[in-house]
Amino acid sequence: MAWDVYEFLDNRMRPVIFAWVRKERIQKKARILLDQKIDLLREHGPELPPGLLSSGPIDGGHIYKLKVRGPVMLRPLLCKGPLLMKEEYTLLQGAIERNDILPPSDIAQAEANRQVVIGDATRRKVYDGCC
Amino acid sequence: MTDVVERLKRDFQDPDYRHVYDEGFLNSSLATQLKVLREERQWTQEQLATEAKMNQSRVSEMEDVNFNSWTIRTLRKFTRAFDLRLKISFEEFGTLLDDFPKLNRGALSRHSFKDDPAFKEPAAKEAEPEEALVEAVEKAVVLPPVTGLGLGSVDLEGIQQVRAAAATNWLKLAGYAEAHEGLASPGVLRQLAVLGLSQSPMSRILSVGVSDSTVADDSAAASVLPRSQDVTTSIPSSIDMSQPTPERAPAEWVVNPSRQKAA
Repeated sequence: MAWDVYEFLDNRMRPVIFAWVRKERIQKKARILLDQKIDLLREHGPELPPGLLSSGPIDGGHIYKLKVRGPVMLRPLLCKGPLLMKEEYTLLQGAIERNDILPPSDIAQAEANRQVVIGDATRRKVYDGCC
Repeated sequence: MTDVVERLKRDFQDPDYRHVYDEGFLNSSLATQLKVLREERQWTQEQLATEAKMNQSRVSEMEDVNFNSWTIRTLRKFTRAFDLRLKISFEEFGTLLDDFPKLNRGALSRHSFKDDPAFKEPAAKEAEPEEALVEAVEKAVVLPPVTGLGLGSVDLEGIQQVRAAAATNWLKLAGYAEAHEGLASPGVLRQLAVLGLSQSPMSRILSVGVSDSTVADDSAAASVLPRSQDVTTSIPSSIDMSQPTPERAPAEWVVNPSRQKAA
């Protein structure tokens, strides 16, 4: 089953992942692999491809991490829905894992962004790649 | 999928993009197929590791879309464990667009040699159509519930399966119908006529016990019957469906005894 994948728009209405990979100067190879993993999620959902998502919410709530292994451990944070829980994911915040630890501030920001989308569906757009 | 394909057509213009993307896709595909093959054999990772002569932790590491250190040597261990062959080939990038939607259980599933249809014994191969035939006939001829007022309905898709199965093997069909003392409502027969089976052995077999007049010719049936998914024929409510034997049932309705027992 195909899922819709959206990307949060920040206060300046910039796609959050697109802006994050540039701010963090993520290498091109890692960005391409990020696109590839997001396409995998979009086309095949969370169940079949092994190791694509964290096995459960990382905050005990609604936030999952997408796992992309490359020169750096990209861990964009996302949630199911939040509007249509069985049909869509929304990328909420970029994050990089170091020594198996995610910055707590990124997790908190992801949840805050999720709440924004719940209140305003226009604060996201269909993910269209980050390269 | 269209959105992804359109984006890939754009982004693949960049050589770096298409080569790195393909590398990621290959890694993801291998990991996913490894998981699918293991699970369809109902093996744990530990069992697969034993079969492939490696550690369970190694299997766990490779069952991950991010694993990127495949070697032909490792893949050969898995082919041996699953009793499959390894196929490696160079492909055009356009095939990736075709392969993308195929990353699902059905497309990734593979038979081990012992279950490979290409190597089945001839006798075993012949048994398959018969089973398919029985299933098709069962599905096609839907008799009314014994306690109901009697609506005989025909499943068009089922009929088409009967036609396909029957075309390949009339003898088996005849044998099946004979074994079940064939039996169907006039509605079934008319629907068979509509579908061009009125002159078929199937129709003649099913018409046992039914007067000739109930079997319409193609043109007549076509003009009478709607071409809907569920063609029904009314059965008089006075029929006592609780005791329908071939001898007692009215000429226009003969009940399949095996179904009667089941009910």
